[in-house]
Amino acid sequence: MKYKDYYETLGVPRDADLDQIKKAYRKLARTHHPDMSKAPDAEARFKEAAEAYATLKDPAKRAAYDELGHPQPGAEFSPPPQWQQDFSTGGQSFEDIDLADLLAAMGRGRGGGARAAMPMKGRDMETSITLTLADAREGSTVKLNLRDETGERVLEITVPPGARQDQKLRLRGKGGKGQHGGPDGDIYLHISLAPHPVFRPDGLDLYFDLALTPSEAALGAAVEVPTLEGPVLLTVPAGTRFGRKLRLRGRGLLAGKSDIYAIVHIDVPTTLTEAERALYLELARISNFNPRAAAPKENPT
Amino acid sequence: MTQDIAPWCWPDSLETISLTELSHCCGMTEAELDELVEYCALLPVSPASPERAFSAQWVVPLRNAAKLRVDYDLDLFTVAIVLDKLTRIEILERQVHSLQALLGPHMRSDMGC
Repeated sequence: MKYKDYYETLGVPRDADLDQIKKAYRKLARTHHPDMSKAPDAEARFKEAAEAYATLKDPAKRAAYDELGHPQPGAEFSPPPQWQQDFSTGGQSFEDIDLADLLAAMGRGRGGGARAAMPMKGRDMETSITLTLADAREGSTVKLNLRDETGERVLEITVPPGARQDQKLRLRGKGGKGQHGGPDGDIYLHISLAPHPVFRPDGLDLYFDLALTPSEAALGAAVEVPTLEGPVLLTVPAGTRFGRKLRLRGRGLLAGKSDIYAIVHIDVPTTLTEAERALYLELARISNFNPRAAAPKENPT
Repeated sequence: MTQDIAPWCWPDSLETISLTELSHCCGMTEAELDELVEYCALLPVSPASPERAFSAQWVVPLRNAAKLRVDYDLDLFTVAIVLDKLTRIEILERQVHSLQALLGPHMRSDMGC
């Protein structure tokens, strides 16, 4: 078994009190937590600090650790013989076990054999998948490759129709195996939706930008629009204004219960033919429409 | 390698979950969850009922708060504050996402999305 200097890891003297240890750990956790640091070694350094703190904050574990003396970090050492009684290693020899696991087992072994056989829930697992919008609408079957202490396995799951962005699916009892009669852990599956070139999901609804010509917006039109199941005709009412939402009922991510919204944008040609120009000039001449008529005339400040 | 087919559930507001199961999900004891209820950080579905049940939508934020508790060695009162803030962040993120879905392409590029 290799020795690890937990005091050095936390940067505290060997006679540090609990407050010093806690303060040193929190400082390291704040610096190296994977949520806070993007450094490539951040997670490893955070885990080292957490491992050191788990031992040094517990007086019994710290006393046991201090019994080891002060070998060089990384040096091989043999734990005192009485640890075999004090620690519940599940029958494993000390050679096969890491110092951190051994000290963690101490908590479980404390209090005798009855405590060691207490039911323990299996480990929860977190994993993620990315679905296309079409798969989210129709539902899909996904195979998860899982690896844990019991080996490698493939878990086939059916994601029901109507999955949303950032939704979590809980697979009860499919995580790590429980010990001593404890329940198996769960799997939490984080669902992401792949970006779509047209649609933007919002909950179970979908949004997209519908560009209309000025005449389509003014006169009304039937225009072809996309859905996840292929194009359909959408009736644009006469007098449709910029920003209006037109609904395609029941065609969102949960069929029949969520919708697609077309957000209207009115576009104009960047160049005009002579005939078009003449007609726009004529329209401008005869039209009384002034979109700025309702806007305030004075600066309120 | 074995292949298995798994049943699923969405931990959302349509489902309820018992105190015992919530405790299993988030790795906190029932007494700790009761304390979070006392701090009004965690709200049972029927506060008057002796058998406490919760909306399953607490599962994910409670698991996140419980993980931060272990990672940063937080006390339970701090967990109550963190849980409140995590819930608020989740609501705000959902609102931002909704607004982004409504925005036109030129506005979205201005927002870096």
